[in-house]
Parts: sequence; structure tokens; C-alpha cells
Amino acid sequence: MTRSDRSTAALIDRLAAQAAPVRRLSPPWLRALAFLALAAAVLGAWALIHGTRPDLAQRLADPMFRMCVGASLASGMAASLSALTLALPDRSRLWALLPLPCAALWLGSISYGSLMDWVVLTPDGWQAGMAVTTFTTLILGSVVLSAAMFWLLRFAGRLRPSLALAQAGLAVSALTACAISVLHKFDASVLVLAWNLGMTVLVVTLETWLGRRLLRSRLYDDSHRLN
Amino acid sequence: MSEADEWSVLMTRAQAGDQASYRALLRHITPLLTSIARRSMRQPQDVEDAVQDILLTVHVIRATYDPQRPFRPWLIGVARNRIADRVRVRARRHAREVALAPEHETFAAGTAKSDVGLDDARLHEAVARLPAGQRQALEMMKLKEMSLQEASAQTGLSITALKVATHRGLKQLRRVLGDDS
Repeated sequence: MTRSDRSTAALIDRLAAQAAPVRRLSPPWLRALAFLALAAAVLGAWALIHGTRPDLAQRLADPMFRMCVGASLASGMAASLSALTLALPDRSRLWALLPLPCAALWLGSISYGSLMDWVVLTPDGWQAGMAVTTFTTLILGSVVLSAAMFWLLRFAGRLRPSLALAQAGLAVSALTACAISVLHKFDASVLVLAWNLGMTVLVVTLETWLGRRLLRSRLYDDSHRLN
Repeated sequence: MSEADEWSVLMTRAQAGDQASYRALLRHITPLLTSIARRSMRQPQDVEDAVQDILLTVHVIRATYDPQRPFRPWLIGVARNRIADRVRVRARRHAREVALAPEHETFAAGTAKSDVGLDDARLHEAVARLPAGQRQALEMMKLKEMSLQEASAQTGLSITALKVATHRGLKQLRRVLGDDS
């Protein structure tokens, strides 16, 4: 037996000795449903506190608005399922394509206004075009949903986190944008996307940069001391 | 029962905390992991590191295996992702490294210490004070004049680790001997 074989055999013995029973992960579709239920609960509670936009009934009569909201909701649902599926090692990368048709429809329906409403020119000069409550919805939706998604994706760190995280960023963006469309008059799709996808890029970059250090768990270091 | 079915059963038992099944499973899959790692890595130490990394990952994420699905694609998915990650990290590290050339290993010319000559006893004492890894690397690379490959095969350390240990050992010797003079 070589030194290398001894080292690996020692690691196997060590891992086997630590093999406590584990709770098997639920299927991705079930975990996606749980995530969407959480999103509905958080944003529903927020709607109860602050109410929906005053002109919601009129806006829902507009097919373009319905399509935009429906497409963002569908993008969020599809991207949630895609992120949780891609986090598993034996699933095809083609799952990444699942939310693309809905996302294309959603992004295509984002109005010109959402590009221009960031700031408003008034007689007193330029002012922020977004109310504080809208911004609060953006932060609340993004932070709570992102935290939930990260927890659900905690196993993906050792596999292909970038792809799963990108899908998670899309899911959170789409769901938050959908909520803002229903709750506020301000069409914030572009800002929501910029915020969430910007955060996703930041997280993916940090993960790539720190990944090696984070993955060198104490267990891993210990295994090399067995030599 | 086929090998794949057997692995699936062993993993299912391992998820329930059966340590004997888990040990058997990890031993059974090691040759497959080694052959997968060898496709992307040449150095035995790199292959061993990759296999151990995959075993650790299997351990950490064993809850993600669904017994309704075949075990082998799950295992190969874990292996491929970990190996791709290691190859990426290694490529990035190599891009930043510069191979040691003879001129890196001479003493500073300014004080021309090579002309003065070194006190053997002090040199031996300084070498003896080096950490074990650095001392071993220096002895193999500089005193026995072994190649990196030979030293790597003998110690089980990777070539990168040997280069780093040699470089650090020389740096430490320079510092100690330079300060004392």
C-alpha cells in the first residue's frame, strides 16, 4: 500500500466514523414551491400593511401590464426551480434555459418609463423618481428572498454555484419586480434587475475569489494531517 | 445486484447513518474517482488531492442524493465539478507563479558574501533550524540535486509545494545568514 493509498484510506475511515444520519433533501420542485410560498407570504404581508397601488384594477385591465406582471412572475417561478435543480450534481445544465422564454418576455415588456423614471425633472431640479416605500419593498423583497435562496442553495458551494446563483438572482429579481408592479405605481423593473443582478455578480465574484479558502474546511485540512 | 444498484443501496444506508455501508461505499468508489481524476491531472499528488476532495464533497452533500435516481451520475457529477474547480484554481495559480531560476538562488551580490565563504557550522545550524518541510525540500533539491519529479515522487508532495518550500527555505537561510554576518 502506497503512502497515497494510506492517506485516502485514513480519510475514508475518518469520514465513515463521522457518518451521522442525514435528512434527505426534498426534490427541487418541492423546495421551489416552499420558496415561492415564502415569497408570497412576505410580499402578501407587505401588501396588507401598505396596500396595493391605488390604480391596480385599471392597470390589470391593460393587457400589456398583465403580460409584464405575468411574465415576471413566471420568470421568478421558473428561475427558482432552475436554480434549485442546477444546484444538484446529477442534473443537466440545460435547466438553465428554463426561465429564458419568460424572462425574455418580461424584459421585452419593460416599459420605456422604467428606464426614465429613476429621476424626475421638477421645477426645483432633479429629484429621485422612486418613493421611499418602493425602495423599501425592493430591499425587503431582495434581502429576504436572497437569504432564503442562499439557504436553499447551501449545498451548491462545492458544485456549480455560479450558474445556480445566477438563476437565483434572476428569480429574486423577477419576483421582487412583480411585487413592486402590483404594490407601487413606480415601474422599477430595470432598477430591480440592476440591483439584484448586480448583487448576484458581486456574490459570484466573491465566491470565485474566496471559494478556495471557504472550501478548505477544517475537515479537509485534518485529512492531510493524517499522513 | 449490479454495481450501480449496490452503490445506491450503500448510499441510502449511509444516509441513515450506517457507517459500515458508508465505509464500503467510499472504498468501492475510490478507484472510479481516481480514474476520472487521472484524465485531467498528471501528478499523483494532484490526483490524490482531487480524490480526497471528491470524497469530502460526497460526505458534505450526501443529503442531496435521491435514492430514486441512479447513484453513478450523481457521483460523476460531483467528481467533474470538483475536478473542474481544482483545474481552474491550479491554472490560475500557475499563471501567477514564476519558475525558480539559478539566479534566484544565489546570495545577494552587493555584499559579495560568496567570496567571504560561509562558516560550515553556522550553515548547518541554520539549515537545522528550518521547518522540516523546507529542510527536506532543500536537501533533496539542492544537496542531493534531485529533480522536482523525483523529489515529488519520493515525498508525495506536489511540485508546487516543493518549489514553494525550496524558495522559502532559501529565503530564510539568506535572511538568517545575512543578518548574522
